[in-house]
Amino acid sequence: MNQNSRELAGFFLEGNIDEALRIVRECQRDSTSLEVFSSLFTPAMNYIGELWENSEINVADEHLATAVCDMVLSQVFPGYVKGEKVTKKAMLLCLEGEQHYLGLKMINRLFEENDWATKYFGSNLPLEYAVSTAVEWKPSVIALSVSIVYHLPKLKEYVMELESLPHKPLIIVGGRLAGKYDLRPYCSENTLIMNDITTIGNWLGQYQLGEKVNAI
Amino acid sequence: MPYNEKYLPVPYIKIDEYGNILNYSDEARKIFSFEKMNVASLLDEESVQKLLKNSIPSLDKKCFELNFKTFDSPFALYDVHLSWDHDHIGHLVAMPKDSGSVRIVNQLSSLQQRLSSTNFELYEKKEMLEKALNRMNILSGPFIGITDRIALVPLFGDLNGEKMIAITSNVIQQAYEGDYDEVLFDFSGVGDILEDGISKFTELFNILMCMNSISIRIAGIKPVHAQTMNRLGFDLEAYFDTSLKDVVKNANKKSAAL
Repeated sequence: MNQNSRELAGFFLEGNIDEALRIVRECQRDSTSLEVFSSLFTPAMNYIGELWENSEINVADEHLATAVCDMVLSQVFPGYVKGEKVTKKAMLLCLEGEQHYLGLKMINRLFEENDWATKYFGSNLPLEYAVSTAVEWKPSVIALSVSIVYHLPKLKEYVMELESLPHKPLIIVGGRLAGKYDLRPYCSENTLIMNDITTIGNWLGQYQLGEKVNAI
Repeated sequence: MPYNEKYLPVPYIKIDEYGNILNYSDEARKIFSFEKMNVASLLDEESVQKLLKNSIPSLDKKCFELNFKTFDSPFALYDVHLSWDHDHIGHLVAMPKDSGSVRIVNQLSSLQQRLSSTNFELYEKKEMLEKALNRMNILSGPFIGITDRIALVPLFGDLNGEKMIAITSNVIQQAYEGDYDEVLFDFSGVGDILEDGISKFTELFNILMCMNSISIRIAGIKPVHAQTMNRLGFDLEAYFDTSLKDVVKNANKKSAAL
């Protein structure tokens, strides 16, 4: 992990928004959003998780860090102005009870920057709401995020129900657990499992490229 | 001093260095399920790792947070106090997280939840507003066939690019289907004229002129409109009339003469 991420984690834990913003803006100057997310934010938040495992901080500290990180993300990446090319639709949500939404928030930004119209629901969306929105809005991609092991059984239910919708959306599964465990048993063979934010960023790039090639 | 662990007034669990449970208090029995007599079975999977890190027997007492599976919740945060004796027996007391801090943490998450749902509602309202605005733009330039030859497009509100884009396709389609000779644009209801509005208006003109040589009439131009159009370089072959009344009068004269 680089020094910047470690420093950023420190500012998140102190609640020091100004210094956190300074580090992120400096990094943002010559990096893409994907690079800022993968080389700065993700390692910083993983480091905070490690600090809890090492009993150096408690859960209340983690919550404060999450709130500060969320605020910094919202300030550095405010509402994205959609271009005229937006035709693809994606819906992003955390499973019911799942509170870890920061990764999904970053993924939402990447979708938007790749000309997708998105509905980002953040944490804790019960399956019935996900289904009713998906039926009405018909997104071609639904991204699910899961970070806590005991939510895993629910993942299967979400994947099965959403994949069986009449318009057959593509389900993408990510989140902290995707990088640590084999989630295939909780998914179908059609589900895309994305291990980290770089994988999904590259997938979005290739999808965009595929569209251009098809257009030619 | 001998004591009976069963009656300790706190959730207490006695373990060996492999995590096997040797004994527990009645208070612990009320909270945890002791079906499997191993401490790992009481914990959320990822808290097991944390316990292992803190389980190297030493004489120092340790205090840390772990997530337990309890009868009430599959994921409940506890403060764990753990110490080891000379026989490598671990004495673990699990105290539910101070209710004050749990309350604050819950409040913080509910505030975040509210903030994100407000954000989402705002986004949905914005989408609704955009749709309504587009609909209003379309309705601000209705295409009305007055006679078999003449059609009227009265324009309402400020003339901007978005409005002209919204109106254009409908006007072109109707002009094409109706086979009109003359299309009359009435500016009586127009407020300000903006640069992007006039450039889209010119585009529409050019398209109409190319279609079956439709002639264009413009009525109801106010002095301020004329100045703006002149400044923005509006220069097209259109017939200008002072008011809609004049146009209708002239049209009536023409039909009487025929």
